[in-house]
Amino acid sequence: MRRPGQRALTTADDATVIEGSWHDPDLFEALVDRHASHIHRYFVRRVGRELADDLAAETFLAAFGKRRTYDLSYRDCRPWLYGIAANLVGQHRREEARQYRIMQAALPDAGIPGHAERVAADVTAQAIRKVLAEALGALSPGDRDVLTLIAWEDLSYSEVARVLAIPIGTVRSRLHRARRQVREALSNTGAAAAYEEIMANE
Amino acid sequence: MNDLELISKLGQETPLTPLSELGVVRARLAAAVAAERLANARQRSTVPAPRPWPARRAACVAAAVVAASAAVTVALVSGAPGTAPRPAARVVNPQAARILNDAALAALRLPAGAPRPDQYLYVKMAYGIPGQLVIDQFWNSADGTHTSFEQRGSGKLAPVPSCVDGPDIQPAHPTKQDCYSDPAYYPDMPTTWQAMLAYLKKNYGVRTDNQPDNLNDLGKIISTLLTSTYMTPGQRASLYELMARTPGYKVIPNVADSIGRRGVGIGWAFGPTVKPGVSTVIIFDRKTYAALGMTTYGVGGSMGGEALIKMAIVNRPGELP
Repeated sequence: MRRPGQRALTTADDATVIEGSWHDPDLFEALVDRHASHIHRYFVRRVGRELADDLAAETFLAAFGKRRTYDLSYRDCRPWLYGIAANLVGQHRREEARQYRIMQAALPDAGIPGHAERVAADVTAQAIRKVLAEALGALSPGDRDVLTLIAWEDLSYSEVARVLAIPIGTVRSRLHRARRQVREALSNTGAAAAYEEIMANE
Repeated sequence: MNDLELISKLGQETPLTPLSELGVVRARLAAAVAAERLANARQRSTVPAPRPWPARRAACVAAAVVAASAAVTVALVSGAPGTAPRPAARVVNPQAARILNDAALAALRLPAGAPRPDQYLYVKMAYGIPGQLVIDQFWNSADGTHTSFEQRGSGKLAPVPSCVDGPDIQPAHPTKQDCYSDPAYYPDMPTTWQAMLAYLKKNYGVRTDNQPDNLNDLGKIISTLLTSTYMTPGQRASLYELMARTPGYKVIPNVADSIGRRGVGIGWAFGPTVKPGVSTVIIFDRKTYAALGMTTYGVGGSMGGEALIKMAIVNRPGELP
């Protein structure tokens, strides 16, 4: 039960922490401090706050359960955690669709009262949000996984490939297809041009 | 601003979740960690075959508790004499000892009995902090040879393979991986604090040298046993008696568990090699001394905890008491 060197492990990379947790399971809790905020936000974005607590906890429980199979050559475990999280999102497609409907209906920030340009920007931003949320909801699940992991979670192509267990070429093609669909949705409404114009004038 | 930047901006509307709001995540993982710690310790040891243990008279234990409470100084000895420097003796906190001794006496007044091998221990737990809780339910095989079940949050009832001398036993998905038996009731668990200390050392790797981390290990192992296994009155009392004799535990007079029940806490600070500034508290009901659960506190308050909502013996998985 002694934990020699544990203090050093708290500043070590993820792979070292995971390897240490094979023998000392308490160490794994350090990964909550490091990554739970991002994993939780990922779920809030994808399936809403109601499910986020439960699924974030499930992610870390599942990761803890399979930590002995973790490939220690990957020092950063975020893609591994996102992979588990993405699988859980895949089991809640209905809730995910509902989340995009909520995004569409979200009210814009009222901005500064009396500031006409700000109000106009907010109204346009709301129009953009509605189009984007609708477009996201219309993507195929695989394309949406790639797009959100890159645009929202700042993962690289190779990391997304690891998350979803697909070749990098497939990541590229899915991203290309998803972006084309989003662009088409934006151009159909004309909202993007108005938004860009307002942003350029600020 | 291109389409990808617009999508990114949409995502930025969702703020990063502060760690202080992730008590559920931390508490459920901590419970799993504690459970594995117990399981690992058992797996490393040779568990003796279950055998009948003699019923004890409550009066005998009560007398032992009273006698021992007078001796509040315990020198903890590390290993065999002469093998290591003898650490300075620490003093048992008398307030903590009094509460734990009262809890032992209250435990001895509980009804005696034990589950049949084919029965299940139903446990309902809340994990997290008030306002952000998930409820998990467990139906654990009393003797560990039947398939247990768990329902985590809003999830489905999921089987947990049982184990008999090696391979997992799960009718739908038999596996050949090694396993260990994890019953909800250990008939061989002793009923005196001295024997319990030896039992925890042997089966759970508990150490009693004068190290803060060991205090944390012992506290968490006891808390996990209290909330995950069925214990007879004598077994439960012996755990409290052991804590009462262990230096380092202190009283937190008024503390709330994860579901807002207030009680008296027995707490300890984490050792410097675990998490500085963090402490954990086992919370007891003020009147009945029933163990309500365990909560961990950091500088900013509760970091999450587990609350025992219900524990009962049932006949079938899925059955509610």
